[in-house]
Amino acid sequence: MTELTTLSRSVAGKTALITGCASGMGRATAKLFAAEGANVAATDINADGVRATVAEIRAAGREATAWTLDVGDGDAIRRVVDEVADRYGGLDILVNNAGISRGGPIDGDEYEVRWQETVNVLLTAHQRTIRAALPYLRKSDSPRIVNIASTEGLGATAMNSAYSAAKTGVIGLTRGLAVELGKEGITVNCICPGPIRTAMTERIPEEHKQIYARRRTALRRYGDPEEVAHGTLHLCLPASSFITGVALPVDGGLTVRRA
Amino acid sequence: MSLPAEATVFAPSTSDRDHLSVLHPTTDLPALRRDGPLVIERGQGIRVWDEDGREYIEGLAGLWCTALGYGVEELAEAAAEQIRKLSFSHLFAGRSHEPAVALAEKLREIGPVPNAKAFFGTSGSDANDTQVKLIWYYNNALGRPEKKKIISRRRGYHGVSLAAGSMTGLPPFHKSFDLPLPQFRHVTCPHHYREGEPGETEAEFTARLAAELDELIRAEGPETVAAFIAEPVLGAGGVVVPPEGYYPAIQKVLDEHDVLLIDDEVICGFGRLGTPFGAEAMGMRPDTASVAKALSSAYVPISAVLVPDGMVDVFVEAGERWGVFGHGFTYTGHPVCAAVALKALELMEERDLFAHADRVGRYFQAGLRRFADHPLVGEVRGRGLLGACELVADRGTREAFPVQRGVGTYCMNRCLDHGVILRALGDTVAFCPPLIVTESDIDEILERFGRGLDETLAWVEAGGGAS
Ligand SMILES: NC(=O)c1ccc[n+]([C@@H]2O[C@H](COP(=O)([O-])OP(=O)(O)OC[C@H]3O[C@@H](n4cnc5c(N)ncnc54)[C@H](O)[C@@H]3O)[C@@H](O)[C@H]2O)c1
Ligand SMILES: Cc1ncc(COP(=O)(O)O)c(C=O)c1O
Repeated sequence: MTELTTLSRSVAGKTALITGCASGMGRATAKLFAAEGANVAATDINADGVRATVAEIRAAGREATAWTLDVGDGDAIRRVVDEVADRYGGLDILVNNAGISRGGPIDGDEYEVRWQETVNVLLTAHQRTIRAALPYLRKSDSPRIVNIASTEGLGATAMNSAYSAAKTGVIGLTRGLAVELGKEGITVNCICPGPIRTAMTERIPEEHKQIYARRRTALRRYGDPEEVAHGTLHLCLPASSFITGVALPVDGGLTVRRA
Repeated sequence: MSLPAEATVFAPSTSDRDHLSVLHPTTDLPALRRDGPLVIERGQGIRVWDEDGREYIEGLAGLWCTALGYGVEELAEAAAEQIRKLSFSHLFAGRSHEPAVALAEKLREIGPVPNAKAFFGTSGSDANDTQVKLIWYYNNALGRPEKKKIISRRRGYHGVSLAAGSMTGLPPFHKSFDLPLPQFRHVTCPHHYREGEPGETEAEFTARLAAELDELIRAEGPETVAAFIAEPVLGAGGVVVPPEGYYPAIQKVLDEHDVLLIDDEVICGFGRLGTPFGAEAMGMRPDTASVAKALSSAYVPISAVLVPDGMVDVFVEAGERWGVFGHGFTYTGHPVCAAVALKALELMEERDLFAHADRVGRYFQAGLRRFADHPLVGEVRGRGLLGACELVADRGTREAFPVQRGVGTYCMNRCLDHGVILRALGDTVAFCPPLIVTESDIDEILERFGRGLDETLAWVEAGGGAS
């Protein structure tokens, strides 16, 4: 049996492509990976935002490059992935994080439009980035894919069925590819964040966040994006080579709490 | 604040948020802390839905008030139209407007006090406070400043403001609120089942209560007693129907001592007992009356005190000496409330709702009486579309359950589980469905209640709630 100590617990020198890096968990993940010594290909639809993230990383003396990328655009995905591999000489880690939240009742007028947007950004984009990245991942000695799903993929909140459907889909995609790509040593996992303080939850007033967290989570609080980034980092370590196909809740105990 | 749909994930529900910022009226506060509120989100017809989409029949018409049921377009329209035309104007200092005048005319035409003018307010409580103030003012104007005391009945409910709360005869509304005020007295509740002596007939009971009132007035001095206030059928005190002949007997005493009769029609008014007003059903001859609740079917807050012309003439004369008649609220006769109330009364007329209430009321009373033999039920009572079942530990001795067992509340909650909202007044379960109920709605209400009642029996037999 291999000694644990011989397995690397560092992403230093790896190249990681992360989507949705202008804000929230994506930004926190980009910064954490860079701080751990990875080359970070930071992407986001928000050009200024992603440049700001990269500027911060570089100011700390770490390596990152910004790409403007709308994950709803399949051609752009292929182009950016090729550019990233070209820039850094390969690709080891893909983190599908970019996301939007479009709620509304099933019989609402805008449902069809919201469904399309939601499924496109939260689910279709994931298979596209994965397909574009696959040729490069296959050449890596510890290829890792992490998709950011949600506890909304494990349970659901009313008025958010498209979101919940897409996030449940992400879990399914993760499992399917974990099995399919396992023989090549590629691990595919997803994280199910619970209530996290990011732009997505910014409109929920602080008092309401506290009421929610006290009533629903084991830890009685909202989480921070860095706490999700640590979960992602852990799944991307070379040493996490036997973990695949999991949907890991990073939710302060939201999904396990009964009363 | 309610969030846009895209921000509802990881946001607390309304019930989760409730306890932070709402102080609830007339509520068991520790129980609310423990159990959280039931959040009602929408209504249509006689039904309402909670925040989880569960449907309930509103068996208590909200708080005895949503006579026409929910979602009546004409009332929404009447409000919208009046808001667009004149959202506010008042009746102070010689101002007037059409909606208030038209509603006052309507009340003069159909109300229980002949030739009455209307003084508008926004709640039953303020109407009853107005009653007291008007009667005090009246007696001052007539040069009898001693004649100020008001008599009401234990278990009567007239509201919670200082005078109304003083007239209310229920302990939670007095205890620790420093009420009643010194001018208020209470007499026995005309509930034969609970207050009758062993072997006493209803007629004997009635005579005893009339004598009690007479003795009280004599003891206080008739020159100090101004008025007696009564709900035709007591509502919140447990739906108590006084015995036949009670009001005529009381009336005789009042007449003898020149004491006014205030008729609190806040629940009984507008068809509830199967007659246009409760006074008619119960044989009362009121001097003044308070109306609210069904006046607008609770679409908007509005109440009215109906005062006979003769009394108003006295106010006018007094004005020559005293100047301004200093009583009135900003929202007295609020044009939007008046317009909606007027439309509500028109709809009641168009739909012949009082006759309908009489008809289905009889059906309801017959249906409710089928529970009289249930092992938990001591008494079934009511009139028209107002009814109650009193739950007892021993039907033979009428022994009540210990209060802390909470049998009535348990039953109310089981009924809620089965989709009917009723109200536990102690161990009395009250019914007061919207006047628009049909016979099949009544079947459904009683069927749901029956299931809740049987579950309560099983719980009681298993020792539930007994510590
Ligand atoms: N915040 C939470 O509580 C929470 C909980 C569970 C899951 N999530 C998921 O976490 C992920 C990150 O969200 P966050 O909370 O950090 O939100 P966020 O809004 O702070 O960040 C999302 C980022 O995605 C970017 N983005 C949106 N659409 C894009 C597109 N078409 N192409 C490229 N980038 C795009 C945005 O510009 C933004 O920078 C999302 O997938 C979200 O669904 C969030
Ligand atoms: C008979 C009676 N009078 C007065 C009131 C007080 O009305 P409000 O709650 O509008 O002040 C009520 C309320 O239930 C009532 O039932």
